[in-house]
Amino acid sequence: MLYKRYIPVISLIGKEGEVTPLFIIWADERGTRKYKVDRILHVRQASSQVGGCGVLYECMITGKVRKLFYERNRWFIESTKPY
Amino acid sequence: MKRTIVHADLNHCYAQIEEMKYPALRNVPMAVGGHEESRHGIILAKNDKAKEYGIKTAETLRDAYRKCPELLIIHPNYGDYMYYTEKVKDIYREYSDRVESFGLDEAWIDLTHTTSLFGDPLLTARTMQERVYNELGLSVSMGISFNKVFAKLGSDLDKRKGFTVISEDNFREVTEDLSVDSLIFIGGATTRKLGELGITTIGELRNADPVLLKRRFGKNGLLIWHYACGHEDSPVKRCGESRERKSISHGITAVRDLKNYEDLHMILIVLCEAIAAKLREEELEGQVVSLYLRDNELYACSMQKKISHPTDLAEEIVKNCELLLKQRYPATCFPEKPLRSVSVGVSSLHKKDDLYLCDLCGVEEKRKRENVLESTMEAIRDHYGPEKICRLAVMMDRKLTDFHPKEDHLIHPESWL
Repeated sequence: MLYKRYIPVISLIGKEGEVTPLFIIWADERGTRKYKVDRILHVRQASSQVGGCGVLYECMITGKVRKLFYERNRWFIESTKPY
Repeated sequence: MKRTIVHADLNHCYAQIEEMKYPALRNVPMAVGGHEESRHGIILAKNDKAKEYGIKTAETLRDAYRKCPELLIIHPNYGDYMYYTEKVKDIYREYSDRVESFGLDEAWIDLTHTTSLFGDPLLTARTMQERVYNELGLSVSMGISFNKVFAKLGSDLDKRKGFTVISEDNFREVTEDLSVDSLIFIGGATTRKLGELGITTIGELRNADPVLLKRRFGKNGLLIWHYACGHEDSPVKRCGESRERKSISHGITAVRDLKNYEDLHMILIVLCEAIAAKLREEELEGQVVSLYLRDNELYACSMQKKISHPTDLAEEIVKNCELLLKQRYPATCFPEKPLRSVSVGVSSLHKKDDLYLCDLCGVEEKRKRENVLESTMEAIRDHYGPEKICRLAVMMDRKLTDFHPKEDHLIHPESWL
């Protein structure tokens, strides 16, 4: 089961307006940590199975493929953890 | 040249957008509806589960709850609906420069001249449909035909991401047994009148005598006959080309029932001021004033009158509404039963010009002054907020008149002609 989790993201806006996520900020029972987006595999417009749609950044984060969405003006990630 | 027109319809639009945002809503009966507390309690859109309970668009929340007590009501998020429907149209616009919106959720797309760029128009239409689904998570039904009327009819035939082609070869066969009201522009009243003539299907309409139809319905009779025969050939408007405005109207379901003329007068002032401001903003003047009243038993009546000179003044629109009321209810200017909702419209619009007939009585001078007064009030409202200046009559009951038609009504229904 996947959940929709809105998260803070540190991103770079290029001079042409292109948005690149650099770090995601993840908070759980162990505290708040910053994870580097190691590589962006694909960028495309898509809808998400957890609801909503936007620009999908398929990224490698700590060795795993993650689906990170830029939805209108905020970020969410398809997460295996509800909170 | 044979045209290829697509009509794309976002199925149960508001409800589908809510489901896209929150997929769990697909598993429960859900509808998008107004606020019952402020008496805007009607169903605007419902999902498939709610449909199974027989819930209909435009029925009251009370009736809907009676049919399905566990119905989940979501209040409308118009900002989202406008955003996502525009995103859908952005996809269409990648394929054609002729995309004409018809309300938020519908659009015609002309693919006639896109073959050299994108290949077979039918495949292009399929691609658009799939892209909307994959990129935005929304399903659209499409009708593809050689004119706008049959394209629209096609998209209505299959509401679940349908794809219906009505060609010049098969349109007779496909439409033969369909009810006349599946044609655009034919509503309840026309269907009833056609029924009286023994015409209930599009096939029968096609075989009817156009002279008889013209005699019974005027030029519109001929128009619907042409539609049934597939003669409609109006172009799909280019992107950015707006439909010409035919009327400006505002209405409100009041927070409480209106008991007398004073109550109604207050509401009329707020509505007419908003209409006049819109008229001035678009440099238009109107010459027909119409008034629509609905009482607390939901019985509705409407009246309209043509006025001697076109106007963009709230004061004159209010005055003409009063005249209409006086005509209909000479004693009290108010119907027998308390009123629930009121709307005012101004139509027969044309561009404002400063030419006027020789002014013998100084009326024009007075109108000019009124115009300056109303424009100034509007400027103050725009700058400092709508509550900063108002007519004294409106202040008699602030609760009743605390609504702002200009800001509240973001989405307007569109008319076909």
